[in-house]
Amino acid sequence: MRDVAIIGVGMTKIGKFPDRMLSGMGREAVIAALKDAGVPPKEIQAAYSGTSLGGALLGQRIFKDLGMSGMPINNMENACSSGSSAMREAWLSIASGLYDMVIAVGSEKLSALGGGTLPLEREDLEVSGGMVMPALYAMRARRYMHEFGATPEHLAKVVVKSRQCATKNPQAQFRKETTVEEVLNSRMVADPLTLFQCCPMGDGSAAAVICSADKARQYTRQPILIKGSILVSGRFDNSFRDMTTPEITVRASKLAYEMAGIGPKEVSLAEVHDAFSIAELLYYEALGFCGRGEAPKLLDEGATEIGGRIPVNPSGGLISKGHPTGATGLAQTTEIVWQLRGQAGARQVKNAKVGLTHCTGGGIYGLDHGACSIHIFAK
Amino acid sequence: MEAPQEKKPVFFPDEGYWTMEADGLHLIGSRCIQCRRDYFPPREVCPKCFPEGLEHKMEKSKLSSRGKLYTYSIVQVAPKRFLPPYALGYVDFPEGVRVLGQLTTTDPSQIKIGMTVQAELGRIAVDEQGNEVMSYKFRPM
Repeated sequence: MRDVAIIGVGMTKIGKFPDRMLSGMGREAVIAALKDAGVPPKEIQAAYSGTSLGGALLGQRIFKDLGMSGMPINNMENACSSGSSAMREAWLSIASGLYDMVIAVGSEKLSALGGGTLPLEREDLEVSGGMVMPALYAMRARRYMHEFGATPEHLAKVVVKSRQCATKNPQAQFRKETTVEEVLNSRMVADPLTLFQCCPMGDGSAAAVICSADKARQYTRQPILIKGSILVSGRFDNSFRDMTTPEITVRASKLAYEMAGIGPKEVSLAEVHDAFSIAELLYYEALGFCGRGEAPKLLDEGATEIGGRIPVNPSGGLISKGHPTGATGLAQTTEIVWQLRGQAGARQVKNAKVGLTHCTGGGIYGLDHGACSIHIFAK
Repeated sequence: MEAPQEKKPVFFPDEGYWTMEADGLHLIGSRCIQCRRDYFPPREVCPKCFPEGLEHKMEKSKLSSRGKLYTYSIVQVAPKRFLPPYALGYVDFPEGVRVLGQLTTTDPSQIKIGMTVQAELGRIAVDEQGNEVMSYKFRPM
């Protein structure tokens, strides 16, 4: 497998844009990424398009009106991991030598679905019995609080940090600061998770131009290398699984660190899948940034703020930047690339050398999550 | 003129998933003849033995009528057909099986992690025709 680099990234703003077409947002991200890469569009040999609910042939709907047609277009779905799965397949196609230059784009338009919770697969037994994503995470939070004595205030602090980062991110959906009190007083969704602790429904798209490390040098003096690219599916377990240890993330991160030849201590910053407040705490532990039950302490110490020793979600994460599901994996990638290049403006992490993106997808009975994709990037 | 459609309860998934006995409702699952693991809902393939290329025939098995509450949440925002608020919980059965189900109460003072719950039949939703959807639920003991 040869070395692979990202030479261009781009994303739309994230928010509610009911008057925009999904494929139009995809085109905006693609055009931005191509411009950032300085690559003539005809050099792109294949495309990988991720969306969870965007419908059939979204890749073709995005690219045909750019005249980028005829090439292999792969449409991928892995629920909220669709974008990072597209990223992973793009990486694989270059690493294996099949192509030299490809593009990955993730897009979603959740405003088209009306309000409420994300529609889940009704064939799933638990979904048909009343399971919704906020409830799944709420039950994790309840168990975590029971085992480790974490409080609702700890959950709320995740959101306060998130909003604070997002005030520095022009692409973010929610850019207003908040307080622990305001978070806890917002509407209860699934106890103990209140509205502010849940990522919003939103729309957006992000894209990345990926090529061999050799070819990258023709286009940029700042190629960002992909040192780790992992995709796993959840392990089926009908028995007494520990819901406070996200097994899919533990497993995927071990593989990613091994592939990149690093450990959690070498990570300069991470964009993790904080779909709900409790998620970020669980992932501090699952990704090895602290020990079991120590996440609230890590947060309290300020270690995961932009100025801390392991900044997590400097973009504002899913909670404040937003979570147009299929776009998220690539939106996280875009943030990491900007950070490693020193282009993150007011939210720049100092001395950013190694970045990690972590994206999970879907809730179905018997699995921790359906999918998890982790990428590690380095200058 | 057509007579108005009578509303009658529907069972979910179907009545083959449980049996009512003297000591209460028992969920019916499957046990693998090879590795003796229990599963709910019932199935035809053992997820442990099948990938290892082992014999994976399943036989019917019955779960205890009571289990322990592992975790729960009272859901306020959900699709209308579930008539929120409702409480969801994961229940651990002595047979080594964990089952998600709605609880019979949404009163947080009555719900505690680790408590024993009793399986019974109850309404979990209404369908598009307005019929009550009946299924297994768990009552705090």
